[in-house]
Amino acid sequence: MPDPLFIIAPPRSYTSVIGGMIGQHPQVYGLPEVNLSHGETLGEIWNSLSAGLNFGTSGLLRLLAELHEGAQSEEAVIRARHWVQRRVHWSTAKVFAHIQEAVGDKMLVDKSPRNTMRTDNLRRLHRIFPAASFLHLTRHPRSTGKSMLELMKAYAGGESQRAEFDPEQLWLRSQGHIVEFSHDLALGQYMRIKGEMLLADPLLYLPQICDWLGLSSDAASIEAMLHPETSAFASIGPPSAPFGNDPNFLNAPALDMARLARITEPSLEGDVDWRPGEPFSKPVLRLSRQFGYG
Amino acid sequence: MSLLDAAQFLPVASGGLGHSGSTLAHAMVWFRDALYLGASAPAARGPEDLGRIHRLDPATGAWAEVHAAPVLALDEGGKARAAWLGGGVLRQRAGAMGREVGICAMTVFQGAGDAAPCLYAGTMSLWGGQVLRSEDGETFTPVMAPGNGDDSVMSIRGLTGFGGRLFALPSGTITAEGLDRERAPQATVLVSDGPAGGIWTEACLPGFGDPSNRGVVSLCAAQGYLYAGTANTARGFQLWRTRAEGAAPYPWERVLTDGAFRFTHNLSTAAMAEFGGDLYIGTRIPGFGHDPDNDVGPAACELIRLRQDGSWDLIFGEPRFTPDGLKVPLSAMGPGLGDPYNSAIWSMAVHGGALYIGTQNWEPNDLALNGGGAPLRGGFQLWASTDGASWVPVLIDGNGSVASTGVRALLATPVGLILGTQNHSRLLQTQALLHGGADLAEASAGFDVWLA
Repeated sequence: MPDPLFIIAPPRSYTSVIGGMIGQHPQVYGLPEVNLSHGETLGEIWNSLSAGLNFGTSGLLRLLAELHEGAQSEEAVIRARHWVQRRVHWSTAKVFAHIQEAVGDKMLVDKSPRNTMRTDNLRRLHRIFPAASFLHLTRHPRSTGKSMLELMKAYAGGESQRAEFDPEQLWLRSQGHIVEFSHDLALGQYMRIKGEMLLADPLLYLPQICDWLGLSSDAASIEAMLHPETSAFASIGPPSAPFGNDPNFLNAPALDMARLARITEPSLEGDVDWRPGEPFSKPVLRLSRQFGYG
Repeated sequence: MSLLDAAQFLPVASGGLGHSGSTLAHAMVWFRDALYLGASAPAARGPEDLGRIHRLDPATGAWAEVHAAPVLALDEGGKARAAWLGGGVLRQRAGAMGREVGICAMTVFQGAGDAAPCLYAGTMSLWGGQVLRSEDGETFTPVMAPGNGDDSVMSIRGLTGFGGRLFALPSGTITAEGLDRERAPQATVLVSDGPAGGIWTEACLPGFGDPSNRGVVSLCAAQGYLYAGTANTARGFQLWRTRAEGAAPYPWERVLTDGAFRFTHNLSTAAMAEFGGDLYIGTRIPGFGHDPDNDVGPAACELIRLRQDGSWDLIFGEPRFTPDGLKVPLSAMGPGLGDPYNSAIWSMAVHGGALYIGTQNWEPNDLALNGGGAPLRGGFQLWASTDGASWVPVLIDGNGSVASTGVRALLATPVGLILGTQNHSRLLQTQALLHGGADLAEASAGFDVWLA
């Protein structure tokens, strides 16, 4: 079986759209957000995932429903939940093996946001898959922060929470986990790319990613990658498992190439929206420049 | 075609040729059937720490000191500048210092006003770096005003002849208020078609028109172009080239940008050389792999190969996606030739059909600072390749001297490959003293020179 690819990034870093694109390669199986790195056993993982809006558990339930029954109906999701509850003793590795067996010889691609919540999560993935590939996706901290605040406003309470939340710190913490973890990896096992760069010119960068992963970069494969909307998981799911990915992506998963071509990178100079009158912190500036942001 | 091996390297000079403050064998050139070596004392403490030029007679193996900087009295401004060389504190307040504390570039060039090829040398000075000229290898005369008119320019480096003109790089800034060894007051390239006459002009726009280029740090003539590499702390180095035709400033073409898309971890170019028709570019982060002034790194160096058409390969370094395609290291080695302590490719030379590269290695410094008393190890490395892609180590661990942290100069000569070192004995002793690190088993200070 091919070793999986993990797309690792802070939240709001284009992982949904780029994960969706890579996941549609004919030799790849793009997973929804399964968050399996967040514990040693399925029970530990299940207990740790927030029940709020089913953000944490939707992806795994939809995946299991799809793999077990070829459908993501409410009934299939309920049966998937029962399946999980009977296997809480399963190790994370065993759950991954179950998924791989169901998928066949395709490369699994996982972009779960909890992978980067702790360095231990990343190390757990590496321990289970010593030869896995890790693609570090970056996004400018200014646009990442704005996107985090907008999502919070839309789905998690709005302005009252916004005042207490510093998206820059979340960006920095996640990036720190990834950079620290990257030092554990062999040459070529870890690669980094600016999401803005990839989305602005996917025909230039998708073949490079394929070459790195040892996947075909023929025209048919690249064309398939330009259609993330064809994924079984690129839509709102049934009531008890509606998400499993960024809600914005699920509502509009098709690429708008004209809009992507207009993606620009903001400046690192100037005040940040979430701390009026203050610029980015020095650690954020340092890491941003290391990633190629000006 | 065979590569040199460690057993072939014989010492031809040690201990800075009797001057412990001469820590850098900074520049070398072959002139009139002899080796000329420019020595620097970048942390000069007093009038004994001078910029010097030594000559090696290959027939006898005898060295002669052919130039030592004249010693000048320090006024208050000079004393303030001198203090910065010691990190802001001059332990013994000197009343006089050498006009130059280093000879940091040398080349043989014949320009307008030169009846025959002359030896030109760039200096490092408290009063502004200059260019020295010698017709006979015995007498050296300044042919540039200090700092070319700006006495805060600390050094003149990168002397390179191209198209009948001599090019030079102002480097570093020194004033009574501070010292920046990396950044010149202006990022520029100087050119003269008759350096004997002392007239130099700008060969490019400041920073090649990009204010984020904080210095021009490397020059190399290759493929019919003059190449210039920059230091850029915001985006990573840039590489520019020109045919240098017509009147200066010349039109320049940018060939690489954004540190070849490794961004700030390729902060600066370092040594460059032409080999097999391609340009090889070594990279660098100043300091011990971490530039504290700009908070960049730590990161190890890379080697990049540029073809004349502008396409390029990564020889060793960090694999990455780029606008120029997927770049994976052809040597299968990561940054620093796989050693995270190799922070710079300081020198290159083509000898016997192979390319040799010398590193700066800061593992001894790290252990002195953070080793908690662990014995020091590491030191410079010399690597070689016959095809530019496959590399083998020739010398490691400072060739037996842990204080030899860098190969600062490499020169292919009719008598063999000559290697000059950077010696960090004093610095390592200070670091160990202040941070509880192991002291050096050896106390030898001053550069070494090896011949193979």
